[in-house]
Amino acid sequence: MTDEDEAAFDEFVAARSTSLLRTAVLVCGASVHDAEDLVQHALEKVYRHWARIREDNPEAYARRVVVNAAISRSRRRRVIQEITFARLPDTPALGADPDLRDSLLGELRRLPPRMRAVLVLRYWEDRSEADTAAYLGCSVGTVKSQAARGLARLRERVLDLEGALR
Amino acid sequence: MSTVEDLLREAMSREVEDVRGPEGLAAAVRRGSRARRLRARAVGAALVVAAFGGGAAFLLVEPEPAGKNAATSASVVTEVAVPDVVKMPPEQASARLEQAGLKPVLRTDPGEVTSQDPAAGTLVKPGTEIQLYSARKRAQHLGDLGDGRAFGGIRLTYLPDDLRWGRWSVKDTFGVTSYSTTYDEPGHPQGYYGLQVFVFEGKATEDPAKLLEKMDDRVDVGSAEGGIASVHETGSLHDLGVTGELQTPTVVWPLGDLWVQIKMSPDRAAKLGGTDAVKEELLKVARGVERTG
Repeated sequence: MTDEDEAAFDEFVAARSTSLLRTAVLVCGASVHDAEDLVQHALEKVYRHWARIREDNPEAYARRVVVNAAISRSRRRRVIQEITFARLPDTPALGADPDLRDSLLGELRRLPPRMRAVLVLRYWEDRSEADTAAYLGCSVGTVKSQAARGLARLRERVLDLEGALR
Repeated sequence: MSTVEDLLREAMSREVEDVRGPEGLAAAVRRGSRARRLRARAVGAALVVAAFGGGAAFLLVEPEPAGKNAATSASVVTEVAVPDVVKMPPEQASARLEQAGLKPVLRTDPGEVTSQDPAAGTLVKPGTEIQLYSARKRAQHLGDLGDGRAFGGIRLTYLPDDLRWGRWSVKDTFGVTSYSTTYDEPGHPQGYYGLQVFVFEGKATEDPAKLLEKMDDRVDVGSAEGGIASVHETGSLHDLGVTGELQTPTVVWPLGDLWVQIKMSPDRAAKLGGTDAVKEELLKVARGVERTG
């Protein structure tokens, strides 16, 4: 890599690392230090191909790597084992936690990783359905259905509770 | 009233508003790329002279280029074997690594180090950064289970040699009454498990019983007939030969008044390589499960 490539890489990391890290935290539902580790690994991949991709769209490439790494990592976490069961226990844990935001995030973390990633990309990053599909390597139809199911689940689990509380 | 989309948007924004990209990330990325190349080389190198020991300096004799006289020109590179600091308090782990000429990078909470990267025994250049992690606080509903083999009314008489109790447990997370814990490969990053075992009793037995009904592949688990399948993330069942990151090999069976289920992480299934090995391990563990009353 040329010095100019290296300088451009520094600039890219400085400008985009916060946003990539936030995405990683939300998608993998992990602690910040785990997410940092994941972003660093993803950026190493970007760095290896930097000379080739810097003129193209390095951010899209980096984001795709981060999102997909976050999905595969969270799939391997044991917390995911909790949601392979079709339904949750009759007394949901959030009953003990009346704070709506925490409940919502708690439920978000219980969603299957790809569904969670769709919600993060659509509603936190405000990506279009087509962009989201491209990042995740799936069809627009899948994005639509995953977003609808994810929102329905959050609505059912959290907002009903909120209604009951107020 | 706000829509769930708005509430979600706001909740996510607040969740990460204090998260910032770490200082010096670009430099860490460059170091990481280099360290990975170095590790790949250390693993690929041919001959290690001297015995393993925490922090001992190694003589690494690189293979000779073909056609040269091997006896006269072996090149010698000094490397260091990374000491095992898992289970040490962070300060002690840090001191131990510095003593070995390495650079600890603490990503830990108070308590103890639960994993390190690179792993113990890896040969690295002096001065290499060693990342230390500690597990987030995990549920300990059942307290200290010792070797972890007995819980929820059962005991595992067989466990693969490379697995240790994951030192966490939950009660009633999977229905009332249920228990679960994992057995992990030591040194693996937090959250990566090898096997997860579930015990169900009372009303909670409905779910595993339904799962067994849907399984085509019936197996003899010693005392009873059970079922085995590869369960997709979405809950759909497949033949055990169907593998992938989303597929969790699972065995389930009744044990007296209880039901037991064992899941193997997709990672471990990939590592074991092959349906036969996966099935053999799951069944061996399952057949070793005893009711303790």
